[in-house]
Amino acid sequence: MSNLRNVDQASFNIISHGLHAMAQEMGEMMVRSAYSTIIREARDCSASFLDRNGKIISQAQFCPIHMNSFGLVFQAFAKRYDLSKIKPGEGLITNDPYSGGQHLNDILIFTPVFRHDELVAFSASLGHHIDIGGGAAGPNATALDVFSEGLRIPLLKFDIEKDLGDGMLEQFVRLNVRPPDLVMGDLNAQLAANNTGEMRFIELLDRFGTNTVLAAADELQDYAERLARDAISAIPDGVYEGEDFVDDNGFDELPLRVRAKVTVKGDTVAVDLSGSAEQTKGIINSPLAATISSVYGAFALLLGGGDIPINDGLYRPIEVYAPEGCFLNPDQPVAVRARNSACQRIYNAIMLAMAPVVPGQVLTSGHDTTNAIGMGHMGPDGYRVYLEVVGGGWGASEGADGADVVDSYVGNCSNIPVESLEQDYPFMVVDEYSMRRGSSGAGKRRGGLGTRRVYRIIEDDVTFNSYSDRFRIAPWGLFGGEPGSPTRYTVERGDERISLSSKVNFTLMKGDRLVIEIAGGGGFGEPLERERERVEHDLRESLISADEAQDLYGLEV
Amino acid sequence: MIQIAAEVGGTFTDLIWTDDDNQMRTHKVPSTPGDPSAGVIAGIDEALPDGLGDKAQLFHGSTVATNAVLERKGCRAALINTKGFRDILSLQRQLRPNVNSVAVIKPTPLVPLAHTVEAHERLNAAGAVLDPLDEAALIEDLDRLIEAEAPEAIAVCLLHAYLNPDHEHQVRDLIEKHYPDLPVVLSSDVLPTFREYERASTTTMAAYLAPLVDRYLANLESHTGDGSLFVMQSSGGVLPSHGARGRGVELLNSGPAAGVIAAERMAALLGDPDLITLDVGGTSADVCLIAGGTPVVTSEYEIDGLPLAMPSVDIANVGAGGGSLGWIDRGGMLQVGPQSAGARPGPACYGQSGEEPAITDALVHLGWIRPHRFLGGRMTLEPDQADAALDSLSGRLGQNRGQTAQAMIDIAIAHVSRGVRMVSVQRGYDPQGYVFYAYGGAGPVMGALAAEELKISRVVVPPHPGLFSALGLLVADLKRIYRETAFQPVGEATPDRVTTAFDRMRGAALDEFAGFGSLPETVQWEHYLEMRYRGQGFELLAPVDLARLASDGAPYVIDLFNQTHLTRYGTAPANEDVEVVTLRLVAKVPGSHAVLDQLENAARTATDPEVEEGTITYGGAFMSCRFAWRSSLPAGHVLDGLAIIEEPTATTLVPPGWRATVGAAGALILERQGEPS
Repeated sequence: MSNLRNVDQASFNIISHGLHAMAQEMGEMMVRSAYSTIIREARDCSASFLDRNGKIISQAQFCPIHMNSFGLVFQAFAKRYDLSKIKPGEGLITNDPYSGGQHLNDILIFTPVFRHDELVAFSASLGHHIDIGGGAAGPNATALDVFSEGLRIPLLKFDIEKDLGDGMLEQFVRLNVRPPDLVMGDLNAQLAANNTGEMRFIELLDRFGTNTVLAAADELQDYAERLARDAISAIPDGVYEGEDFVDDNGFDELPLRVRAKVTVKGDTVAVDLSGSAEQTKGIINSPLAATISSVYGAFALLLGGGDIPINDGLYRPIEVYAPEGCFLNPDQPVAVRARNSACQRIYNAIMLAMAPVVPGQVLTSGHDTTNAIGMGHMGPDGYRVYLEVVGGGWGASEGADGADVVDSYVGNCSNIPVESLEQDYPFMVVDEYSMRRGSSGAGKRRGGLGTRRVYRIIEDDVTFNSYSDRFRIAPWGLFGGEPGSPTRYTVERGDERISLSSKVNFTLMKGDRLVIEIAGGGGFGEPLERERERVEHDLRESLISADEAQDLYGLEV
Repeated sequence: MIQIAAEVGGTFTDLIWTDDDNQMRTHKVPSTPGDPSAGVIAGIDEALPDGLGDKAQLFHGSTVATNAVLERKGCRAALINTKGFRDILSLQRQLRPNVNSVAVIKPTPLVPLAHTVEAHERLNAAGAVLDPLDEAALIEDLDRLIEAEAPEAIAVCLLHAYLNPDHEHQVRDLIEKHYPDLPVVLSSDVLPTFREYERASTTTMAAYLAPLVDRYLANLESHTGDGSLFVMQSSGGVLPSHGARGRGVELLNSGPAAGVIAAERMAALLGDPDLITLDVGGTSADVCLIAGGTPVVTSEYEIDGLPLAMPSVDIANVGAGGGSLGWIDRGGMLQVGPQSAGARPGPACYGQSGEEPAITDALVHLGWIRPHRFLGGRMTLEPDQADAALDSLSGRLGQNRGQTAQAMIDIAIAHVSRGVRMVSVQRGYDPQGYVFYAYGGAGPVMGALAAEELKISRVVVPPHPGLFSALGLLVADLKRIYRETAFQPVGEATPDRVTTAFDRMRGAALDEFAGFGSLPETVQWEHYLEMRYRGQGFELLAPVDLARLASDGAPYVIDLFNQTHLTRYGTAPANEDVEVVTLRLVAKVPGSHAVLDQLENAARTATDPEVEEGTITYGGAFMSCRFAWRSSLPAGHVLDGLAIIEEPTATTLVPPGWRATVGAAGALILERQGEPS
């Protein structure tokens, strides 16, 4: 099994590590040289490297949801252009969800890599941009179609020198976004990341030769595939079903079903999402690329426990089907900005389906939502656009309590330091940032605590734009574990308490306090089975109250 | 006067000393992990039965702080922070360490929530007071905490205190009034820069370590008698132990820093301004880049997942050393490290029932390490055990043991090279033209091979490579780094403001150095600006020439930053606003070079080279190879590869196409003959 075909053991190890380090360095380069808080502090970006036919060689997966887009977008470009004719100094750019992209804020840039005048590969980066124009500064919760979500960049081949700067591409982008300097600064950071990848890849080729490097990259995919197939084989064959719901589409109160039928057969898995809700009004539809990424992401967790390299090899034994016209594979031009809610429910439905079969490998529901908190304000020096992903409680598992306050399945965004945020956004002060007590679902392993964040608004006419979920349907527990508390947004205006919905555009005024309370995770197993030391620890650390210790866990104090 | 250096490692404590005769002597004793000072004291007692004498100076590098954090054995510390932010150490940056792991475990904070108290106060992002400090409420909460938890030190980290330390000073004064014996550590002293989690983490680490390190130093001081104790800092300088009081956090990472300083000094002697140090020990390799004679310094470190944002010598650590184990992962890939055989059981060839092959076993199998020469013959190796361990992998990989041994070494070299890339290309430095300084037990055998990989053509192996870090303690400068936040867009007022601030900082530094017994005229200065383009989140450090600042003004600062950005990121956007974020001042009194001069003399005494012929496996083939005993080689002696130079603590490989020369101070200079392949 360990006999390699076209590369020796040492080169395989060294090139694999080299390819991984290369993508990682590309991502770090982007974070380092970026301007907007969403990339430089929150790390909402990813990097990838593809061979000249578009096969993924390596990727730095800062956000799991991004992982599947590079290959799909490349295929779309390959249909549109003869990429063998691309020249040095040219690049490919798009953000179109209907060409393999995610949502409009995610701009992908590919640049060709040449060695001895021969096209050998493509270096690629994806950055989530702080603003892309459209109906609101930040997410436009009432968008009815993709056009009202912002500037849509087609599959475009461009000349880096000619079209940036005073050129057509940059001028078009600049005029259509609210903070043009930040968006262009971040686009340049993407190009810097691509250049880094190019330099490192050429170094590898110079050392090992093109054939050996590509053979090692192939081996690495086979390696991931082997691990994935072994792990699938260990799961009993059968058909397993699970479903979960997105709260609503932001316009009415109807929950939207996400259904997953998982067929395990030998060393393969097929996931059929038929029976999921039809495409709908509003921004919660998920483009196919994001849907497929979510299925892959769920199985990366279930199968690997973090040990399988994330590449195309891992995906080979996994088949995904989502019927056209359902909200997990919508037709143009429906809006998709808040795709992540549906994506996370795909993880949830798969976890529910697999819980009875492989209870030791699944998670209860955590907050499992991208809680995108956006604010915009027109000040004397121009538009300031704030966007942060506020985390919540992680799900519990057989082996571990859910972590308190982390991002959700599809992302791994960092928080933005309050000291940085108050420098950059002088229209607010953060009064509180804490773990939300009482939000964790009790269990032998408890769910993670959610988050409480209180913004005090100190200017008039600050727009609050957000999409979230798990307001109505609480994060569920498993095997006797209790649900976590759902998420809620409240505006305190004098004595008034205004409850906001999960997909919202709202104008805040000076003196308002915006209270964000993110869900905690569900518990795993019977709370009364929780070890006394753990309950006492949580009590001592004020993670639970004395009442909770007694009522939920039976601790007599 | 005796000058003695004591460097505590994981397995051994190394002692090097010189007396009035300037002869360098060495001694090695087992480390005592429970209380490392016990090993140091025992070692001194063994080495110097007559005691240290009155004027002795003990220079000390210790892992005591690092181990306290890794093992969570620091003191009971408490944290005071701003109301609304009590949970800061648990929230962290909200990141999951592994995005594809079901169980998400964040790093455990050093201060539990039960030891955290909120101060009712608030500054805004300009440093102005929004809510004044409520002293009455604070002291009430603090009384309760001290009653219940009896903390040994208190960290204070208030929001925006990097702009205005007044509230933190008020808190300190309040505690001093009520609890005069309780040490207080302020974030505005330790790390006056923005990002509240990183600052709180660093400040709590400082409080967590202060009493522990102070006790440790006091214990050692009681054994140095009237002599004085100097302690290595992560900045790469030493401080007298009274100056290190309360600054235990500055000892983190000081171990590898000592070796870097030794290399810096030796490189100055040999005329190498640009070098990369490879300190390869049993478990891991520490790599550092020195540009223009100065080691690169960083402010972003993590220890056990906890951020430590203090300026330290920028050392990359990779898991590859002589004890690193070869193994096959569950996908069938051959891996080397980061697990290490350690001292027990050690590599299989130690015959202590180690079953997995270590790098040392591979070296023994290939004949690069000869069993009878290992540790100067003081330890017998068992090559059969090395072969058996290699066979256990080879069968599963479908190759012979020689291929496995060579593959393990290639992989280990690649790990070391990756460390070199981290500190060079990833920071904008091209390693070509740099010189490797290879030391530690396994550095000399890997140095030239890693150099081949990176197209480097000169490798220096200093004398006593296994004890070289301890040597660094004897030659280090007395040194401190001072920082002050000075947020400002670069404009007309900048030169004056910067100059005035540096004047003030130098004054304060002179006061402190007077306390160390340093005369003002002996103190040397370096001035740096930490800058960024407006909107960026990370600063870059640039040395600033105050004379040019005065004559050329703001355009000089802007140009300086553009150049720095170009080096680091490959771009320097035109027309961007530049901001100064932090001023950094380095104050130092140069250390003595006497011990290096003494090495120079020692190298002149050898006359009769011991060289013998043998064979080794190299690049898959049997090749004849000359073996030389290092201490027998006189200055100027030349040896062409393939050759192996042996000494008690290390083995130097001279590959084919390379030439070794015994150079100044007894250093081995390895140079590639002809162009890189």
